[in-house]
Amino acid sequence: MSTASAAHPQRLPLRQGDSALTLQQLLGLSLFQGLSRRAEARLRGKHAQGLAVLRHYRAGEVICRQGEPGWTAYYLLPIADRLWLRESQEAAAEISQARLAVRLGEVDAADASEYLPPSTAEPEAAEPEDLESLRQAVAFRPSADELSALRAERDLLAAGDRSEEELAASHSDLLALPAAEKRRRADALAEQDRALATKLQQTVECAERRMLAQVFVQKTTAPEKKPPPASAGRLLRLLGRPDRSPPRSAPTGEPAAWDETLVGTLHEGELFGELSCLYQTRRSATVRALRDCHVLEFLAVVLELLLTSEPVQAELNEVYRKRVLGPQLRGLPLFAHVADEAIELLRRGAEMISKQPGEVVYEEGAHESCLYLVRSGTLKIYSGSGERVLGYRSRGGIVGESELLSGGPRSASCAAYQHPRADGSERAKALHALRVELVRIDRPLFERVCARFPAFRRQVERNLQDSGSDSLSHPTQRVQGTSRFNDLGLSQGRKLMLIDLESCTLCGDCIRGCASVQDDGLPRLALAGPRFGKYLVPVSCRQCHEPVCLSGCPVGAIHHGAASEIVIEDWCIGCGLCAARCPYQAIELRSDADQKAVVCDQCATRPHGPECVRACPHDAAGRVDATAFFARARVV
Amino acid sequence: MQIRKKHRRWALLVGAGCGLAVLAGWYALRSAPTAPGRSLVLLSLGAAAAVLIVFSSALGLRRRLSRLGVGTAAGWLRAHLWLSWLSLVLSLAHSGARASSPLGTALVACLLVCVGSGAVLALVQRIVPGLMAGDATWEYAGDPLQTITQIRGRAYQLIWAACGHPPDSDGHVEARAEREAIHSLLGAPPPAPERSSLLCDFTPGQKKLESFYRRTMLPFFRAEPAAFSVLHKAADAKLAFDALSGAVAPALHPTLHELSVLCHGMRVARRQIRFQAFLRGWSLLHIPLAMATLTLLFVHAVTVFRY
Repeated sequence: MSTASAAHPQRLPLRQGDSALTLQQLLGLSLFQGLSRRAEARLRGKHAQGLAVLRHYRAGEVICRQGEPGWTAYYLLPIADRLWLRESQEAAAEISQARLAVRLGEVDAADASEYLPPSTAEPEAAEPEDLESLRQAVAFRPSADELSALRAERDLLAAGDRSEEELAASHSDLLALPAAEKRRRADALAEQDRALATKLQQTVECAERRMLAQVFVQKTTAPEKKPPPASAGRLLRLLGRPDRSPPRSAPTGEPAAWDETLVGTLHEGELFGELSCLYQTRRSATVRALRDCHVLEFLAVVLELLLTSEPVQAELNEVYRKRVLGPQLRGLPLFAHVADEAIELLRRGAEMISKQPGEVVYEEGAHESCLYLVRSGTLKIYSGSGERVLGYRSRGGIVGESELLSGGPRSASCAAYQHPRADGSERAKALHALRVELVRIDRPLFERVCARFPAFRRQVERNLQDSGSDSLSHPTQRVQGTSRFNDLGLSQGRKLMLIDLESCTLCGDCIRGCASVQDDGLPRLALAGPRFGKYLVPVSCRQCHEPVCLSGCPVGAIHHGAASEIVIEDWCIGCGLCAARCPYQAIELRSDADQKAVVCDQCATRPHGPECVRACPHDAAGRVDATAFFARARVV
Repeated sequence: MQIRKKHRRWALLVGAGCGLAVLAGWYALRSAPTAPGRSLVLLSLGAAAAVLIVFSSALGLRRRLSRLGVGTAAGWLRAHLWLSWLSLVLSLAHSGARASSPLGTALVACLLVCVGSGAVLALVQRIVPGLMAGDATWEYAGDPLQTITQIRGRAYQLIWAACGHPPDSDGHVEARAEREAIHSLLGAPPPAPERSSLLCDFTPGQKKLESFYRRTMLPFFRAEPAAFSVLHKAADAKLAFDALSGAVAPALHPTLHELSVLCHGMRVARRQIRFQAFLRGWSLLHIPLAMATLTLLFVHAVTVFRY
């Protein structure tokens, strides 16, 4: 298949058999058909090439692996798209061959113009192409056999669809049967009603051909307990040396330690990996190709553009409802030990809503008895006018469970989290990744489920008592409730850099240590910043729970790394959007000739952790989860 | 440096080591009271002390070897602190706590002073950061010199806004020198105030404010002999600003308040600089002593084995 222009760096690495798509080819795919003009214009922008790659996977090959950082999404190419791509490549190959002949002087330009379409007849006037890319385009010309095989498969699938429509009208009971049973019935019917048997057979084959990948979830098995360390180990620990043995709860990486379970299949035309791509989380499952298939892999920036299309958004909501919501509800302590049927009813009836940063979800005293489950983003729960924050709820957390049961007024207000000093522009708000996505379970739905399953209410009430719904007034929340804690955005810090000013002698070893491990020799840390009690919060990446810097990058160069650190790839164009968006000034634009954004990666690739912390001789520097740390720390 | 739990193990280990060294020294001296340092036991104690002194001196190497992942700097400092005490006890045990030779005596004395200065340095590092943290402002900038520059720039800007013209517009020498100093420190001329904040030229008290800035504040900012500035002490500064606020129009009171806050910030920044100098001063004393100890140790070892 033809490659993207050589002028643009290839962002996603190409493997054997993969190919980069031109923008025309990308926009011709069915997935991009509903794209708004504005989004299409952005895709056609000068930095947009190389954001998507067409990958070819053979049967059994792993497409994405559970636990990997998810910064791309995948689309299983339907047969129509594959055929369209190959046909367009055939046309492109013809044009490239004519241009190549002109370039090599084998044919006169005037003669070549007879074979070329009017718009491409003058290669000099068009975008200059190097000989190599022309040769590649010619090499990607599909064979006649391949094209005819693709057309045959398309016809086969179309015939299967027609059969399914006919059976839906006359034999809908047969259609509802599982595949094996359909096949058995088709064999049984072969002599009585040959036409019906053929149709049934066709629907089975059609469904199987469309099934392209399988989804597996791995669970770790509990490792055996190891004996206590030998006396030498104890001596080392006595001397204060850290234990170098791997953590016992971590998987060893050996296949025997993993238990892989098949949880579903994916069909052509389906998106997957989109949730981890959008919310920058790790892959929740491993996907393996069931048969030879073509998969479009694209960066988050393309997904963000796709999400401006309402049908895609609606489809994603349905995917979430289908794949994620059930297990998520089942995993909540509130719904522990309740019947599967009740969870199923809740899953089907739940409503997906989205709130912009800062938007109020409900206010204190309001008679609005819904339960909210956070799908993405963070909710802030507060009392009064927002001065006293009672707590936060992130992905997977719930709010409003007490009111759902009691039907009483809200005891606190709740709003979508907004970073302090965050970019509040309309453009920023329009970005999907900045919004807080919620699942709402309203009281009528809850009452319906209670009416149908009488034990459900009792169980939920018991669970609510057991889980301690009054967690917001827990004394550990006092520090986090202060307005300064919130003004500084400390709740966002997953690996917040803190310097204990009662121990720090301002020797600067942390900065020198940081600089010593950077390729450019420049530190990613500044010993200045706001103060919280006896701690200095220096300017350095804090690995936010909701990183606003990750969204909107025009070239998809910024993403989470394997250890959840922020990574800025080499292809950064230095536009400064991420730096402007970071509310804590942690991203810097280096103003040298090769202007690029740089950020602290928390020394994720170093085996011993952040060098700034290791370089501090007074144990004054540390990287902490701010919420957990300040829940137990003496601050002021 | 905070003496925390992590030091407890070292203290126990070094305490035990010191006890053993004293016992071994006492036993060796009882066996051969006339020749301290010559018996095998005492020689071993001396060799162990030498190894520990060399290791303690290698603290600075850790910074250069950080890429190799050779332990944390805090771990090295703990080892440095406690093992140097052990090396002192071992040295004393080795010499039998006697002045047997001038070189040996000088070495032990130098080591004693070096370890003592190190102990004082650890104490200083224990106390001074707390004082600095208690004194520093809410928004903390790591470099007090930078803070001082910002304060000077802001004061210039405030006077400009309050008087309606730059303080050096009439060619006043000190004000012009201040503008040039700010320019060189900031790398840019002092920022002009916003038009909306400029007061008109005939506000009562403007002359007095300008004069106060030139005669009292600028010498204080430039750290001229501080004893002559009323702004050096917080109580005197408050009196000076109170007296001035009675003599100027109420429109200038917010400016006066902000100037008094800036002066307070300046005093804090100066104290921070003094604290930092004190911290680094002790290091400057300790490090040459350590180098001298190492040199004497080398000479002592060569002398002993050669002659």
